[in-house]
Amino acid sequence: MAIRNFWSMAAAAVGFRLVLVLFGGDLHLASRPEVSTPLTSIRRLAEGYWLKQASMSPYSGSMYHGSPLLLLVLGPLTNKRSVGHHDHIYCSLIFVAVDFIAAMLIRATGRRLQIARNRNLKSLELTEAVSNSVNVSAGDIASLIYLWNPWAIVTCVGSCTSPIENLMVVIMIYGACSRLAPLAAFGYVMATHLSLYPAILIVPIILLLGYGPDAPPTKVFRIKSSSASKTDVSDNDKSSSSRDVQQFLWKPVFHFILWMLFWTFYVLLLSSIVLNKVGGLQEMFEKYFFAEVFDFFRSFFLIVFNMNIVFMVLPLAIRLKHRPCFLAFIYTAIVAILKSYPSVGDSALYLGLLGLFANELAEMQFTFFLFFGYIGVSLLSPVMHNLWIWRGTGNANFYFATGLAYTCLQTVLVVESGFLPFNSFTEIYSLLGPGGSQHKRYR
Amino acid sequence: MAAAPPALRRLLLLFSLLLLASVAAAAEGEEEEEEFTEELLLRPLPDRKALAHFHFRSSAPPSAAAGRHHHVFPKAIAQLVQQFHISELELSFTQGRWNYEQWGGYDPMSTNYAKPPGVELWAAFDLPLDEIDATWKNLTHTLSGLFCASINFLESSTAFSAPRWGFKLNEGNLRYGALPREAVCTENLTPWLKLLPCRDKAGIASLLYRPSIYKGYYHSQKLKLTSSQSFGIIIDQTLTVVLQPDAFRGQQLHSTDGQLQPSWSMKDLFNRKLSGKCRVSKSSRVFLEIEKDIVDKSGTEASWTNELFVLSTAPDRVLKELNNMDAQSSSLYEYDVSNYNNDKPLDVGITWKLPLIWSCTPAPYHANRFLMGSGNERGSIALSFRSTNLHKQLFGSSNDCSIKAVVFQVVPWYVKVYYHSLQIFIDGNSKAISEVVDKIHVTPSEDKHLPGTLEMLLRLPCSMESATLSLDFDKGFLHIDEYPPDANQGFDIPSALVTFPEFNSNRSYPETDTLFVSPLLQTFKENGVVKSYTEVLLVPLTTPDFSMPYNVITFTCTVLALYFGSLLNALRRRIGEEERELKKAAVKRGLIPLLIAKLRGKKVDPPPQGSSPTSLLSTKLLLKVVFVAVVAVSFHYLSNS
Repeated sequence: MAIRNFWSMAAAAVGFRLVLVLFGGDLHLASRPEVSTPLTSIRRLAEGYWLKQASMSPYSGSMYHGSPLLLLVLGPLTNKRSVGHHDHIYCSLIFVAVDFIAAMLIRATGRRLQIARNRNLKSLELTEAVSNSVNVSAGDIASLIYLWNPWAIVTCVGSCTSPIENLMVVIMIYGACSRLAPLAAFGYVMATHLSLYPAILIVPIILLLGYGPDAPPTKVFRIKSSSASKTDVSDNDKSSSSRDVQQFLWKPVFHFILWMLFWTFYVLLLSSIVLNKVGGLQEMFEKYFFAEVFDFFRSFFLIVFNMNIVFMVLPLAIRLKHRPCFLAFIYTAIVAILKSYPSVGDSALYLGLLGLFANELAEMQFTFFLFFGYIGVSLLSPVMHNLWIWRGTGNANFYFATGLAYTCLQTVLVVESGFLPFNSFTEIYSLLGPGGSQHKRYR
Repeated sequence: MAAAPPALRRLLLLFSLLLLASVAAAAEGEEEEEEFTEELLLRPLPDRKALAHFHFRSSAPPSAAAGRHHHVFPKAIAQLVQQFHISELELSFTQGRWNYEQWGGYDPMSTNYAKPPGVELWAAFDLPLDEIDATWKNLTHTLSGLFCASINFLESSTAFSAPRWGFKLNEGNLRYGALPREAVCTENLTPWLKLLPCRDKAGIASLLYRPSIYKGYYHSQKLKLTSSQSFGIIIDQTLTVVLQPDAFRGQQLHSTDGQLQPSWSMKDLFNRKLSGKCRVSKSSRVFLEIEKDIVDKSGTEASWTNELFVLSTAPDRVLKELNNMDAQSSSLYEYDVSNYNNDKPLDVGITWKLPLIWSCTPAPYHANRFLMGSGNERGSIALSFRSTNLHKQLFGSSNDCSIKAVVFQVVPWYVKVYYHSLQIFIDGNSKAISEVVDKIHVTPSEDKHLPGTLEMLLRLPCSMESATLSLDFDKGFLHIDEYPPDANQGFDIPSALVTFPEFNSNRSYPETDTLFVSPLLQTFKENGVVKSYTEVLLVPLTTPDFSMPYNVITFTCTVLALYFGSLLNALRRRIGEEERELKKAAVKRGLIPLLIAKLRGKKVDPPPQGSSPTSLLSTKLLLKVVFVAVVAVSFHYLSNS
């Protein structure tokens, strides 16, 4: 069942953004450290474009670290200035559109997930559960969360390039959910090209393409089939068909890899054309990728941060392999926690994806604490920043403390939501009758 | 062993003397000698101050002929030039700021000897381009030792730049660096004086009485070095000071209308009189310069006593500036120090008879630079030009012309300038960049590696009154050990240099003495493109709490541990585990009751699982402990080695 007034609310969100962009004046959001990081700042992009126009390498100096393709697309827009608006209004308008597309894709992904879920439940002969438990469309909720998330709005209005990175991640997940290997490969290659961290999402993407969208673990089907065989031995087709659901399909994965190679070559080719005048790809790899990857590894701390992302990839993949979409959400959240230059734009992405699991998350603990924690942090952080940088009355410790609190909140969110898929399946266990009835809910 | 007979010894000595003399004579016959000249220029300034400019020139013939021995030329400098293949070098130590509005901006003094506060060093090398950076680094260390200054801070690649045309046209062999905060004091002057053959014991340098020259408003000590294969090495050592003469002397003469300019003499300014020249100097002269504006007013043709002022001593010669455009021009009164001695010391001075107001010729534009914005996050640098309408005096009042101005600016990396944000306002109206900027060359800054350099050729319309350029910047964060001890004071951005290539301030004087050309007047004659340095900017940067690293390490690690631990915990939990744990807890008794039972001597039943899992557990635990220990030891070993 879809949310009523979905379209009017989505339109209102887009309208709100437009109002802020067109009539908000210069809110100086683009220079706020929470909104734009050195990697996503549009001012730095404008500087890179200016350097390129002055027939210098955009990567000379240490202003711009982004992709050459963004320079190609957004660069010319940074030059145009209209009277009465802030400098990067055209880019902001593009970001409004990008946000809208991302929200629509999230909605479509939610639809896919719901269909898959209903099919699974049906194959488990839990039709009454389908009609009982699923009463809201998770996709609609997720896209509305993404559209109305204040952080997404701030990121969009503050014009930094993270909406585009988010869009690419969403395209990738949508493509994988609907088993469109070329689209998924395009999203994957672009997202990795833009910020590198989404590279770890290859695990959930391959799982999604191989197994299809989130399903209960194989064990459930086995229990079901065993209980089915107990009750009705002759009914062999059903159990075999229910096992088929979980079989890994190599074909889409193979397609994905082929397309990924194709898109990689294409992106590299485009980049080299863009950078043709100023040293080509060599320049890009030296000044952009290696600046982003290896320069971070300079000290122990940065290793700890960046390695922690990688540490968790495999254990989570093993544990959550039956729920690749959820796995993708956990990965994006972990990246948002631990990346070197975190911003609220990353949080906007994983909070939007969180909405896809609205049905399961209804059971989540600490929601009150988390909700007000997020609000508190997002109010306190500008205050502390102001005290430290502008007033000079507070020192850096206070600002650092809000950062710590933010990380803690995100950790709690990830851990709490990480429990949930198991819980939701205990529910299914309990619904499964004699085989699963002894499993009580964990909490 | 017996000593040699005295006659033989005398003979040997005579022979060796003869040999030496003949060698010396041969050397003198082939090449011109090493020369040393000393000169002093005094000039009254419009704002009741006096300018004193000491000029010492030592020159050495090409080193190949002279060998490694020097007569009056400082050996340290000769070795420096030889070692680093320097073709040109200029090092200045300056305290205070040249007041371009009062002291003039369009005369050789202000274009050549007005320098930015602190240390400025530039050098051009006669070397392949790839060796220049390394040579520059060695040079800074050498100069740092030679002049007792922290010039070695210019060694770091964040401190120097390689301008192409904004500072001085070159083929990439020039390096420029500035330390705006360097304090200048006697410890820098003493090594500078050591390069002079008479130091400050005799000659004009003996006037350098420390308390009086450091009391001044402006103090700039400069060393300029030029070297080439054809004419050898020339060093010009100059010291420019602006002093405040004692205002009360001579006031009782005339206090009727207006305030009289203070009268002064060398004795007042330096607390010394000049008693003879340095013996080894080829010439030793003192000049007193009277500005064009005063000469205009005095009317009489360059006499040393007129209705406006009287000089204390009659000059040996009077030089008039050769100027095609104006009838009247500044005049120089020359004194030859060799005519004076201990019994008859020279005390050049000026006594004003009438109150007088005059002004020096200003540069075409007064260039000022300032910071805009508040807070420690971002800001803007603004460079403003105020027209002095000089072009109207010089070229008539045609309004459709334009004046070229070259801006050269070095910005340290922690001031991250957005060059695309360059905005130009002419008379308050925003102008397109392409209308005003003819040529621009930017070297963007690299974090902790390279300063940003901006070279810009502007074409400003003659009719404009004021122009402002602004550039936005973000303030960067420094690493905690990159902050200086007084981090809250802020950081200095070195002065920008504005050059007006169409204006030349050179002055030529008639050559009365054909045998000898005064080096001071020679420098006045050449290379007089009008330049002015802007102010040094003080940028306050955000300071961290310097006790913070410990907090950061501990808290961040705690949060990471929380993240890692809770996530792992969530991962390894399984459905129904709680029930199993509950069962286990029901079976297993707590450790303390177990101990109590043991103490009481009761026999405790082994848990139903048997001992094998526990022993397995303990071996696992042991293995884990060993593994952690091995990792810790290896990490320790690796980090130490």
